[in-house]
Parts: sequence; C-alpha cells; structure tokens
Amino acid sequence: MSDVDVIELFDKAFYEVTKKLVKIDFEKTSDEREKGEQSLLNQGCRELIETKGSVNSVVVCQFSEELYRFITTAMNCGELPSEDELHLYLNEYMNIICGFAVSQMNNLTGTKSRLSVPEYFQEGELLDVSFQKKQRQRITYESKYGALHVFLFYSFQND
Amino acid sequence: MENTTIMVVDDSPFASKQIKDIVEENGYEVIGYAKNGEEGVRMYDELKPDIVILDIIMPGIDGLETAQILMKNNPKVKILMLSSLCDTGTLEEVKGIGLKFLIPKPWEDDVLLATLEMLKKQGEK
Repeated sequence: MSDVDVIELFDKAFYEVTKKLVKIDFEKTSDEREKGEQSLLNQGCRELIETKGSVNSVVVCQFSEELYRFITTAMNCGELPSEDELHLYLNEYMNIICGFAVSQMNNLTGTKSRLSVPEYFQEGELLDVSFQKKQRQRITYESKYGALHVFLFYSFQND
Repeated sequence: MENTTIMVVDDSPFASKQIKDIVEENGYEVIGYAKNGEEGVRMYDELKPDIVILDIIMPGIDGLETAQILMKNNPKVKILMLSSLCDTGTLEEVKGIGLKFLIPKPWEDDVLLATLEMLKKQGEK
C-alpha cells in the first residue's frame, strides 16, 4: 500500500460521507496561507481517532466553530445539541468517516486495522503530540461553514 | 398484534435517534437505549426486547464482547450488529461469534428494515 492510497481513501471518505451525512460539499484547498500546524493541532474544537493493525495511525480533525456547529446541528435534526452531548455527535461523525476509510483500506489490501473510540478536545485542551514521529499528511477543506483541517500521522506495521 | 420491541446499544445519540425515527414508522417499538455494553447487558435483563441493535465500537466492552455476553446469558437473543467498520474481516468476526447480521454506518433505511424483518422471522416456524 502506498502513502498516496491512504490519503486518497481518507480524502474520499471525508468528502463523500460528509456530503451524505450533513449535505455539504467540501473543497480541498492548499493550506499554505494557513496558520502553523502545531497551532492548529492545539486550538479550537478537535477530534482524534486512532487505527491499529496493518496501518497504525492517528487522525486529528480541527473544525472551525461554525463548521462544527453546523455538522452537529445537521446530525441532530436541525437543533444544536446540548453542550453535554455535542461531542458525542462529533465523535460519531469521525467514527463514521474513518470507519468508511479503514473498511475500504482493509478490503482493498486484505489486511486488518481497527478503530479506536474517537476523543473530543475542546478549546484549551492540549493534544498528546508523541504520535507526530510518524509519517504525516494534512488535508484542508473549505466549506461555506468554514474550514476543516485533517491531520494524518501514520506508519505501516512492516515499516 | 403487538409491535416488535427493540433495544439500541450505541454511545451515539445520533444513531439512536435515527434508528428510532425509522423503525417506529415501520411497526417496531424502541423500548430502551443503552450507551455502552455494560448498560446494555443490564437493560436487556430488565426489558427483554425482541431484537437488540448493537454498535461495535463503543467505550468499555465493545459490541462483539457485549454480544457474546448477551448470547451466553440468553441463547435465543436476536442481535443486529452495526458498525462504521464494515469490512470483510469485521463480518468474519461477527460470523465467528455466531451472528449473521452486520450493517454499515451510515446505513440505508431499507437495508436496516429488511435486516430487521429477517431477524424478526429468525426462529419462527
């Protein structure tokens, strides 16, 4: 499996599943003009999920405030979830998208990777950055509700 | 004729609400929600639903382990597994513990309903 395949699978998952779940289009953009990676990884609303198995990865998403409010509202039938439940909706969004990508990866390669339960990080909470030694890629999407930055840190079992 | 009763075990309120909306329009009744496997096992004993819809990826004991506990305690339990991870390996794991049904998240409503119908008829003469 090449590096490009992993990115393509996650890119396809973010685009297609977001469209299906909350009916918005993402446009992939160049993020040269954006703030530094470390800054984005540690600010605002973020979700983290891990895969373990043939591909060991950490996926971190950083949502604009407007975007996460839109996604969670759309998933809750048009009503913004309570603060207590909001993270559960974002967890499910991540779970569904990353599950879609990893299922395809497993089927295409005949290998096995498993998903963790997603974790939510709110403004002010720092991420454990020990995973950053792995290969890394970043995808930035723009939507009419703001940006989504997807950070992929990964390695293959046989690396 | 009484509705077929369902208990949903899923940490996601999104999934639970979506399931309730679709199944209750189609002759089923959701009689309980559990947010994790432990709660699901306890709730099953209290409610004795006809069908359990059980997510695989959950905090604490996962759906596969929860299913095994439910099946050990209640050999006739009818379980529909749900998962965002729906590859052939996961399907083999589901079959490996003696279950037949796994549907992906996000699901198609007609697939969910057709699978529930099959489960409902399972064991009927």
